[in-house]
Amino acid sequence: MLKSLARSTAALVALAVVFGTAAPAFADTSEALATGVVSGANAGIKNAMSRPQTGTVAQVPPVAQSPVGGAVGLPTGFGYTADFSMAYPYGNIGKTGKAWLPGGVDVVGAYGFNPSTRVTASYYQLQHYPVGFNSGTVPLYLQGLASPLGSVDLGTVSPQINVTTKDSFFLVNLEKLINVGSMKGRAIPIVISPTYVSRTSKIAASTSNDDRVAFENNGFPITGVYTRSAQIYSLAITMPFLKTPKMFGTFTLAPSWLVHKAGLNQENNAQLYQILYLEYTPTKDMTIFFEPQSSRDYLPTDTYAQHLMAYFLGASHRLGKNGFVQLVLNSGGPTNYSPYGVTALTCQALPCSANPVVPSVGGLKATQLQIQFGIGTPSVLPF
Amino acid sequence: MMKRLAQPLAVLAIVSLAACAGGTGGGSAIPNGPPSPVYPAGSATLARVVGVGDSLTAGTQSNGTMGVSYFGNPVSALPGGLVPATQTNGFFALLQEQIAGGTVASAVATISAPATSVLPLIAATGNGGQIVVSASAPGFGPTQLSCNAFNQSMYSLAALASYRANPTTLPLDVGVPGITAHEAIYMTNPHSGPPPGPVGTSCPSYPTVLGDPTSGGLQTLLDAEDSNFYPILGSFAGKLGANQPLTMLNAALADRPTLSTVWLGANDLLKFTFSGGQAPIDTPAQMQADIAQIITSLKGVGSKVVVANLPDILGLPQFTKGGAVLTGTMTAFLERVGIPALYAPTIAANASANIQTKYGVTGAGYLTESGFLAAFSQCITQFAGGAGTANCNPVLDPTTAGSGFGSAYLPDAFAAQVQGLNTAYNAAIAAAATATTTPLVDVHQTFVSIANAGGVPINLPTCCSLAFGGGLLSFDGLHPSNTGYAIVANTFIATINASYGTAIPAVNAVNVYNGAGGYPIPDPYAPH
Repeated sequence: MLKSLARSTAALVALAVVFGTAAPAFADTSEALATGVVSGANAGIKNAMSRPQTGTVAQVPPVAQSPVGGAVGLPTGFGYTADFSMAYPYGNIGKTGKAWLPGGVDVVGAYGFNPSTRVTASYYQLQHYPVGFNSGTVPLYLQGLASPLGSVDLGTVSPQINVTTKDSFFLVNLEKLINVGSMKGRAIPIVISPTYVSRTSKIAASTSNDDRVAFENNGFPITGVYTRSAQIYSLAITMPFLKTPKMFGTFTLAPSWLVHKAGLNQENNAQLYQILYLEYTPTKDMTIFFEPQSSRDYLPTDTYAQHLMAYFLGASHRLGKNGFVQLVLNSGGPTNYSPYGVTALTCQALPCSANPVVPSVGGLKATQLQIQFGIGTPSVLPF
Repeated sequence: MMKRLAQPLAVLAIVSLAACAGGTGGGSAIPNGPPSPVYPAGSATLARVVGVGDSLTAGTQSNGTMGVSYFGNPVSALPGGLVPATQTNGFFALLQEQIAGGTVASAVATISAPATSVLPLIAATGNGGQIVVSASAPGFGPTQLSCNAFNQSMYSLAALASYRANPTTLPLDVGVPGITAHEAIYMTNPHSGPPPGPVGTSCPSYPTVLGDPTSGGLQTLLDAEDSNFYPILGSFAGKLGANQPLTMLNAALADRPTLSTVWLGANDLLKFTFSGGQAPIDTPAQMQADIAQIITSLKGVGSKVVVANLPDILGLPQFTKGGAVLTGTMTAFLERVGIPALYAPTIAANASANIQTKYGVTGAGYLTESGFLAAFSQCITQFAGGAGTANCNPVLDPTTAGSGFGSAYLPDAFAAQVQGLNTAYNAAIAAAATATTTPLVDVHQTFVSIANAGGVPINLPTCCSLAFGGGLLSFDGLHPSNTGYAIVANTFIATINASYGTAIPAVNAVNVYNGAGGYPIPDPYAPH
């Protein structure tokens, strides 16, 4: 029983790294933290808070998914998981309208040295399609001219700008669980997670099979910038604020730094990511969660950091011993870049129909529903 | 609307106008810039004087831009078939000659020689189709088609050495004929081209792509700056900073100017005019912002700046006022080609009346040079064909009704719009100058004073005035003659001296007119 629980917890944490947030609206670095850091920390905190105090009686009746012993913090030993996912965006893609986004694959490996120390390495892919790239009417400019030549209906312009995006994250973090006190006989643990995140991307419109796509900045076409690639260091601190037999909540603060300036970035100040996590566990096989986020993220296309708000609403259900399915609705976008999507098109030479046309892009906002199917060792739920 | 621009005469006018007129970020120091003449007084302000502008800064004349003179052109009636250089006659060249000091002859020789010039000297046979007095027939003719192979090669940066006499020089004059104020900051490459090659003795318009309104007429409208972009700025390619696109402003910043002249906006105005109000140009507010940005950028690299405003373009001989003025001008032209004085006034009066009725051009409207010449030639043809003295009824729409609007005729209401935009642009330039604490070169007032005085007494009673053939403008009716540029240069010099404590001597306009005192030839565009 204890062994099973320990395995379950380890796998749960591992899967959480992969599936915790799925394809976020605006696949930014905060979601990587939410996925790779918060969910792992949550597992450890939950375990630690569920541990009965010596000489006392459990404060709440044990329920099926609540550990009653064994796991006292971070999962120990080796754990891994793998999954695939697919997503459906709430925005039209090309002339065919709505369409499924390309599938993603996630792989995670973790090793817990002891209940307070663990390392995790993960690779996962997130899919999204920002709104506003194939709808609306925008002005058409000629490079160098101040006034537009006319207007263009993005829904009918050909060829359309296909920004179907698949972000790939590589993440390594060390998790350190620390008990900072107790309350009503229950430990108050926090998890500190030094983390490295590398994000690369592939955008369908790229002619170089990566995330280099032309866009306009400050009146000029920019062609050589990797528009989404970035690397950050982060120091996440996750702390609990709610623990009942069926509910659990944490709050994570994560000061983060770009490893280096990229693209058009003009500054590289520390940014503070904030992630709230709240879950409800109605049955032993099901978890429902809600996770709003506030972050400041640097995209290489932006001179300064974007202010991002996003949320994730999801439900997970166990399938047999080793499988699970999870459905996540996520949405988000920047608060300081508007309007969303393409705000103008600029042709680089005449006639426009025969020469490159470069978009000016406002904020990137996306909403999608993601379905994930995964297996792990042993079977777990992602949260 | 764009189809109207396909009219050959309109194209000629547009090209000539676009040829008239002239980047972002800090400039990187370029070690191999051209040697800058140093004023004998040793003024640091005058160490590197850079010209930011359009064809008026580039030294365009008579619908062409060329840095070297050549002989043997069969069209030219000048001795030996001379086609004179234009760039070395521009106000900026004259300003540099005055700054250089020494004898005029040596200063002219320095700025004319490819090895020492601070101008981007365009090789013979020049950009555009320079209009000269024709050797074979009365009147004027272009020395070449502006769509010939030589002009077409100017859309290729790789061919720079074939059309620039000094292809490795980083010039201090970065004025690009045809460029607008916004393009001076943001234009990074030719918009299109090369245009279709000659068909017979004419240049066809850019072809229209079915369903694409950005093809055809718009390409024709923008052709002038497209064909001049690389000839002027091409030598800066690959020599600017990593994040600095090839723009006029970036080129100017890279020149590390100590003093900059900024004279832009004419092409916004002219494109608005010749496109019948359809061209995508700066609003006055945008004009103010663009001029201010250019000034601020130049000051950001340590340059002092003067900025010039615009003359009233409708007062230039490119435009002939309707009503009685049209009647009088037409009469004189008809008599000049041999129409008897008995008939000429009646023909002209009827033509003017018909134009008023059909095209709304009264005493407050205008014909462009193309429109006037079209009406003039049709009146001759109709008279010669026996239509009768009372029946000159010119057709100024080359194709469909309204196709000559802007390119051939400016109805009263539209002419008022043009003048309104002219005035608004000058207000915007003045506002930008005030906001940036920059001296304003009041070229507008210079032309107003000349108009009010009836001309400049260079060689009374022959020369000079603002009328067509009056000696202050070249044959395209927009760009100054040698003498006209001298007067413009003196306006700049007066402002620079008054603002920055320099002592640049004024250009001797009489010597320029006469081709004396070291100036190589008499002004070919002024009557003698």
